[in-house]
Amino acid sequence: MFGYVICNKNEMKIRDYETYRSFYCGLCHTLLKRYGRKGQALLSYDLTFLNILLESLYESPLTEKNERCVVHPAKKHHMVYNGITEYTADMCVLLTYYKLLDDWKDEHSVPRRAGAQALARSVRKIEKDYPGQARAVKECISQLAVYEKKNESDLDKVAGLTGHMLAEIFCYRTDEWTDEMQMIGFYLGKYIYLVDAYVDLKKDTRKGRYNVWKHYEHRKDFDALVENTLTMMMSECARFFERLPIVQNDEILRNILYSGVWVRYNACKEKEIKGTRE
Amino acid sequence: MIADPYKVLGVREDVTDQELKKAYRELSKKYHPDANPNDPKAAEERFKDIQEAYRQITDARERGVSAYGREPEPASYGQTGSGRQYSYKEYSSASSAFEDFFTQWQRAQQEAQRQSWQQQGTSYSGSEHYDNVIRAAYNYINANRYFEAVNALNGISAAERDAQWYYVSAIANQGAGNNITAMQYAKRAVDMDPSNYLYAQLLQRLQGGGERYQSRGAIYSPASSGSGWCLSMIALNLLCNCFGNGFFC
Repeated sequence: MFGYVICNKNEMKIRDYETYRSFYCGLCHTLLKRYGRKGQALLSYDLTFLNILLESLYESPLTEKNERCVVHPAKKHHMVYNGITEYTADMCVLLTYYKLLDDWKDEHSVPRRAGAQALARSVRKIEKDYPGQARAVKECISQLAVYEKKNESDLDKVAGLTGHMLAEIFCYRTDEWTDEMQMIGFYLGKYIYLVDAYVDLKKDTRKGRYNVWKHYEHRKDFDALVENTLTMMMSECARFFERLPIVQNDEILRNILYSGVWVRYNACKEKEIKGTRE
Repeated sequence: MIADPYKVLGVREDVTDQELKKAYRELSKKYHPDANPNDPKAAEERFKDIQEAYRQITDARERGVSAYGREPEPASYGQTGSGRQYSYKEYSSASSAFEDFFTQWQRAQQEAQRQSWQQQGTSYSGSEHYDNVIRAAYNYINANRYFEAVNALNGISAAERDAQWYYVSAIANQGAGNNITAMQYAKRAVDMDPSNYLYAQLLQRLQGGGERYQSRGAIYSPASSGSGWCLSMIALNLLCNCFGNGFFC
């Protein structure tokens, strides 16, 4: 479910892309500092988006560094981070931990379980610090399993679980912007769930796994239904984003929300079209 | 409601969104209670006004109406007075785009009710149970309790669901975050009663969001996988992730 909230690099100014990478590197650096190598492995662009969103909303002072990173030792990388990055790093761990546990339950993959165990102690501290977020992630995953078992067809219901989860994750603190942040998280979560299910549809059908879109793919207007549904989610997400008084990094954030989130969906559709032609 | 929100923020009516946000940020920093230890109470009052002015203009721009304050709605319209248009904690997310709606259909409903009660003393649509449910749903919606509205409405059997049911359920579901269901129900309401302008207006509002989003997104050319960018992004992500215990590989 990760890797959808990315930027459309071709449509970004170079300067903006470099800023984007600075945040990404800053998050990586924070994950490494707080959770070591196993934490660093949890880095994602999706949570980099949350990081940039929060930083731009609160405009707290950032620490800047130019450092060599182990993955890219050739040259120094510019990175920025602060307390908000620490929150985002904690959320990376939280989300991945429960996902790993869930994957282990489904697939009995030993590496997944080992990964989860390695993070267990860190997760316990995060659960204490952020009980609301932890509860939301746990509930989402357990309720998703229930819906999968009964082969739920209601799109709002299943996607709403990821929506609810992300709404809590986006709730960095309680203040005058909490409602907007939760709504952005909610609709982005619904989008991510539905686009991921669409991209995985063929694979899930092959493997006999649950996929909510299976209930609709027989429809003649299936492709239009998927695209309209996804557009509905992003339009609500973007609408609430536009209400925030964000003046920094807004071009980066808009690139992601209006274009970047569609990159993998478009790639998937292109592949489909190529596939049917051949 | 603030009579002149532009004055509060020190901006002109034709201020750009960007300038509006900048103005808000500067003022809210200045009047944040934490930044005013000498007189936090006065600062807080000013801060609230600044917040409300910003919200008022943002709401109005979203809906394409004037941002200048109107007479406050009388209490009998059932406004909670909490000042917030939506609250996720109650599983609700009222689109403030519906504020005008509620005012309109509240008046229409009250008028219809007044007429029917005057005329016959019997309900104007279906069973008494149905009327009670619709009335309860309206009350829940007014109080931003959308989850409860949806539950109440789902108590009506499929056979009894008429255009009005679909219309009210669309509003309730939209508020509860079930926007796919809301769109379906709004379409159904219009199909069942095409002459009803409220139903058509609701559908138009729900569809308008998508149109606005697509026109804003049109300035970006879609990334084609042929450019290799997409694959390289994902590969880069995996590379950074794989360094470590490699449980994603």
